[in-house]
Amino acid sequence: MGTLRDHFDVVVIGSGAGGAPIAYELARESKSVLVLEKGPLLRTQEERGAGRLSDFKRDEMFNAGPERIITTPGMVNTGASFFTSHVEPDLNDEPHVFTNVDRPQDGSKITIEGYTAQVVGGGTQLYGAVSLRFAERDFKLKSANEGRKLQGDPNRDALKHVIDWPFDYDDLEPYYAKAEYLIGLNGTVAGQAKRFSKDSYQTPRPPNPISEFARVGMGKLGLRTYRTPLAVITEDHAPSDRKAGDPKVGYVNRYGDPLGYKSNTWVSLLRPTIREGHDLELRPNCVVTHLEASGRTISKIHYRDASGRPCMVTGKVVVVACSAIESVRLLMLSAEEDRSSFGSLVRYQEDGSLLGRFFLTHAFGGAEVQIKGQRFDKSISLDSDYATDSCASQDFLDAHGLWAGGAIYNNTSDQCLPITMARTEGDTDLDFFWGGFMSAQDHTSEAALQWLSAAFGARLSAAFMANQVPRFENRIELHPDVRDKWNRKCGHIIKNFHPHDEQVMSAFAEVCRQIMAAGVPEYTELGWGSVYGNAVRIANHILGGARFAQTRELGVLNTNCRIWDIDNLYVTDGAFMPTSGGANPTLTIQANAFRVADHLKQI
Amino acid sequence: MFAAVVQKEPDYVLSHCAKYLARDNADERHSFFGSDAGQARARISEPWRFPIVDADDSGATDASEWNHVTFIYRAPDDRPDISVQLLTPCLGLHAPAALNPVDDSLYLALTLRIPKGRRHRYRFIVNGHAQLDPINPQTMTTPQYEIWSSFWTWTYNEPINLERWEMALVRRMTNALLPFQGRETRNLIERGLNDGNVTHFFRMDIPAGVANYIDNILAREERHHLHSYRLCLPMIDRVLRKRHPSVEPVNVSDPDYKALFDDMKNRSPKLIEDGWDPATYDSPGYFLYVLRRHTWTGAFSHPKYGGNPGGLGWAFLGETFRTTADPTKTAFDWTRAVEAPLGKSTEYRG
Ligand SMILES: Cc1cc2nc3c(=O)[nH]c(=O)nc-3n(C[C@H](O)[C@H](O)[C@H](O)COP(=O)(O)OP(=O)(O)OC[C@H]3O[C@@H](n4cnc5c(N)ncnc54)[C@H](O)[C@@H]3O)c2cc1C
Repeated sequence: MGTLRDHFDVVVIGSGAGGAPIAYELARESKSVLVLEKGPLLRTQEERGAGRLSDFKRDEMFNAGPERIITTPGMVNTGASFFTSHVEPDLNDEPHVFTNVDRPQDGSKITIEGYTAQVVGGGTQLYGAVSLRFAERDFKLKSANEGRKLQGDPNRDALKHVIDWPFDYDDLEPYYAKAEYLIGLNGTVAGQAKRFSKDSYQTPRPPNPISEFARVGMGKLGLRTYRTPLAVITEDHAPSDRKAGDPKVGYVNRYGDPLGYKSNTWVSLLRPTIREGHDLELRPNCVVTHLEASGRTISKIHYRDASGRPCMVTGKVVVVACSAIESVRLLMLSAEEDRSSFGSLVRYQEDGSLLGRFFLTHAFGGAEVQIKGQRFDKSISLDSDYATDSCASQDFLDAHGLWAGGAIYNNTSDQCLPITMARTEGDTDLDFFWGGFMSAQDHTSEAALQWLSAAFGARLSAAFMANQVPRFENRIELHPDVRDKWNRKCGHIIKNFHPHDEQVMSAFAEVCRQIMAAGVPEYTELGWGSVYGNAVRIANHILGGARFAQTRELGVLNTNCRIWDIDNLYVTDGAFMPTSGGANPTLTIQANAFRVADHLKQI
Repeated sequence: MFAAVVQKEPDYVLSHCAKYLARDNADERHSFFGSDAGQARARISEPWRFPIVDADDSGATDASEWNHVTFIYRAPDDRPDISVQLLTPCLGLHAPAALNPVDDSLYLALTLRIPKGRRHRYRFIVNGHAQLDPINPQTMTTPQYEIWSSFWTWTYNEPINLERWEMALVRRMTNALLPFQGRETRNLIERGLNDGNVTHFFRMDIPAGVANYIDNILAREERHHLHSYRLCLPMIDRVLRKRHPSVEPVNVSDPDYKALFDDMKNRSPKLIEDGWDPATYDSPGYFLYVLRRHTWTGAFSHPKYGGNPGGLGWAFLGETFRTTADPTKTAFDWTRAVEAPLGKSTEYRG
């Protein structure tokens, strides 16, 4: 191997939703771009060559197979099991610690977030690919709530830290359109409440017939439906030179796609850019350990190579996109390496510093029904078939006294495979691990068959994804004691929901319940709920912690996602979001990254 | 020879190594509760992944009969030019083969093409000295009492850790746990909803496969549960013998196993009276859960893990559950997604 290049115009750290669009755009502007990615490059079949195999598999054991045990000492869940996929972080090597900000007396635990992946493509390799735009109102939640009185806000402080995004929907709209086109989505515009300048969706495949109950239920409640936009190609996709095939195989959420139909950022953005000969170099298996500043610029990026040896590169522009917790952590670790220089540039641990503050996830939950007397082949599915925006309308919010709305969609592929079905038994969290199965000890032999007979191909769920109230106290810090495999301090998430989040979640869970009750003629079980008060999973989506704002008093980043006092350092993963939006976040992270890339082209 | 050397891309090796082997920590956070204490592998995660046993992806027509096994040695930071050879009977003990540096990394690697269903021993010769693989925890002892590192390829079906009586008991229990045996299933078969031949095989082969899967997982991924099996199986044997003095435990009836499972679940005084010693293992219910989880996972995971031979666990679901709209159609058409020759996907190769 020749000597590695060590200087680039742009260095992007993290190859997922926030990083890849920047690399794509700037390499095509004739910049030299390096992407440093901690995880491996797992290729599709086609990349491996004729007759050869992908490193991703249709194999339930790849998703969450063998049990591992948390060994970090002194945690509430030391000794507990965890089940992660082959490309999620090992929780003993790279844990995140969680403490409930309102109940520190409960102790700390290692979190099992599940909503990230360490692989080229990041979370977009494993994601369900639900790719909704945020509602127009989501960008202006401070202004939209002026003078409104909310339900379930006993201290009248739910809106205290809410800020508007520094731009509105119309400003981001062209980038949504661009992301939809370049990434490769299927779905329908008709039925969506948002304004579209362009319809780039590919035609969705016919829905799984079980989803009809959800569509009917939504319809009976007067909710307008549309086919859920999914980042999966159903037709040949020219921008990424991908051929369509049969993507509806049930191995969807939590699986990397061996055939590359799922539009992860590797197959949709990075791979075509490299294939077309642009100056984009990808270094997988390389973890960035810290950044070094001189004056107001980042002068060096320190990383470990695949063997663990220290290396260094420089870039005129540096983009951090490691997924919010890890990006904030990288900034904090860099600050601890050099408090006087880097530390003061990011205002690390200064009074009033916002670095790490306003960590966000989503208000999330849903309802699940067991349909009586009807069975479907749920394995012929993608993640979702129908969605509705109707619960983001002003009327809905006024009727329920809510600050912000969200999207509701049905899940189609959940519980379609037998191990996942047992693993997620008895819980509204689709990624739940064996807890329900553990307590269903009677499910042996005939009873197991009866359980299967009632549930197999007969379960349908609807999920909601709504804005979570930003709290100043919800934050990411470095944990003083717990270290990763590089002996670096781990991320510490200190967080809880606001009481108004409960109001939001119970209103949405009730709508999901009604959708199921109205849509399904006869059922044997109907459950509904939310993540409120349930600390199994700390974050369903990992957002905030370095929010952008119009002024440095209000945010860590400026409008272009640049750290205010560093001339060449940008953060473009979900960390920038000041509010979490009423939908799954990835398309918005991608659209914003395309927007930032346009800015970077100017400089 | 049983094996042939094949070339693998450097990317492949680096992408399978970095997460597990690249690190600075000196603490033993992966010691499997002390069983690897004091050894280098106690510091690295998932050492059971090594050597890397993967599909043969050469595209050859008989590829589904073979595995690619990649042996890894990580050179010390200060000695990247170390010489490492693989000594294994499957290449011939007179012909050690060199592990080669992977690009400019510290990893040395060698990939062999080896038939499925085999277990082999090996050692590394490092700068002229034979030693065990410092990463892989698996060993085997030869009749001459020599300890060698060992590995096995997919669908290997000889006991590795459990003794034969333990395997037989596990097999019997998994048979009583799985839904393939009950009256309901028999009714379904009698009602003619299933292909009689296939259902016959379910009862024949899946429990044996699942027991084999459990033995494998206790040797590799879930080594931390081996001890529980070692403690609990003798107590289950004892309880069954006390309850059914004239019947071998493997011949005890399904309802009697159901009674045992209920007692385990409830930690009933009767169980303790009959020979379960809480001082040895306090939570029979937890062991039952682990056994159930292993059983379920074994029966329905990919056949390469050994527990779902020929996809019969999936076929059971597919045969038993039909769509309401068209009862001639299965409600689990697993063959669509899965690679040939096991399944019928025309796109996915496995
Ligand atoms: C199972 C699952 C289902 C999901 N479903 C959906 C869905 O349906 N819709 C939706 O919108 N979202 C979904 N998500 C979430 C979605 O994946 C994330 O929102 C999205 O990927 C976040 O983008 P990001 O850029 O913030 O981070 P990521 O895409 O996670 O990218 C971060 C990258 O940075 C790398 N990295 C981290 N630290 C370092 C370092 N120090 N050095 C080098 N590289 C580093 C990581 O390895 C990773 O590749 C899902 C996620 C999962 C895991």
